[in-house]
Amino acid sequence: MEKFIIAGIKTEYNVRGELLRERSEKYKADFDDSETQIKLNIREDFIEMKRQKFPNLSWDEHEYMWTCDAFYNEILKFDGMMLHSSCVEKDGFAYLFSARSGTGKSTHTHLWLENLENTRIINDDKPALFRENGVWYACGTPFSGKTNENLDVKIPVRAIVFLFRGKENKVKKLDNSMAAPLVLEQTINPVDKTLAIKMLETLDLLLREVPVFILHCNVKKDAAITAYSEIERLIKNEN
Amino acid sequence: MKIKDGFILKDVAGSKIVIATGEARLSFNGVITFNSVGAEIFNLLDGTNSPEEIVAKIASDYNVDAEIVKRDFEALVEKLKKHNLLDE
Repeated sequence: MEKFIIAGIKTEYNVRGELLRERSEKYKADFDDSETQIKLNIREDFIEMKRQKFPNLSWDEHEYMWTCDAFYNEILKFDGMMLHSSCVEKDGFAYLFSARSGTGKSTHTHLWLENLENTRIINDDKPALFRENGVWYACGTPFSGKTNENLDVKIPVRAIVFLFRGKENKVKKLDNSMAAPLVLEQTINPVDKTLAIKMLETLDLLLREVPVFILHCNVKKDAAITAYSEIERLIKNEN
Repeated sequence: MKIKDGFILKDVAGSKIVIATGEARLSFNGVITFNSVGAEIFNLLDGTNSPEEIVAKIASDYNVDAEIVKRDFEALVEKLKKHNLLDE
């Protein structure tokens, strides 16, 4: 197996295809076998079985996808979780834009890159969230969806935003008790009962500690500017 | 009448969430949210209480008329059946 440090976790997995190799490149690391925290044992015949069942994806894509799935199940044991979102950093803080596929998460965060200073993408599709000393961090990982836009960094989270298409750009603070079903639609729900309970405990803390917003937006320049300024205004009002 | 194995109910940041794990995932792959009465009924549907006992307990806990609780209970049971959460 090959060794990587992802979101600070010493991880080992097999790399057979080009896609997983390319995406994993910047997370390559060296550490002693005894230090390994996560070991993903994805068998070749498992990938082959999945490929035959879903032949519209290539072998490499299946390998990437199932390694991703296994990794995000394992991080639950480390008080982490994945949120299906495009994560952009501005001025040292991470903003996660989550939505169903096809809504325009990535389109929106790329409007931030074009229209707001001091911004970069941390993970365009599946950032990991971790809590450390009472602070939530968003982390880049090799698992970033269709593109390779991910950085090997750990950035404190400012806000989680659920994105919907709209004509006008509008931000609303979401009561955090309303947020759990939205997050659960956009994360990996483990089949294993113990892991599922762990995930809900992590989610409970996340939603008690990180502000959640609803954004209705269009795809014009103003969407980024309004989203950023309104989120900031609402956060400052709360404090 | 009892909730099938594998369904778990947890309070997540103030909302009462039910998800399926294990084999139950084959028949249910989503999230249900309950209010506090619904959550209490869910917990009482563990196979040790009859519907009549559940209604009586809720009526006394919340100090409401048993007839009203019975109607709510039946509506909830319908919802649980629809989502395949109940063993008869």
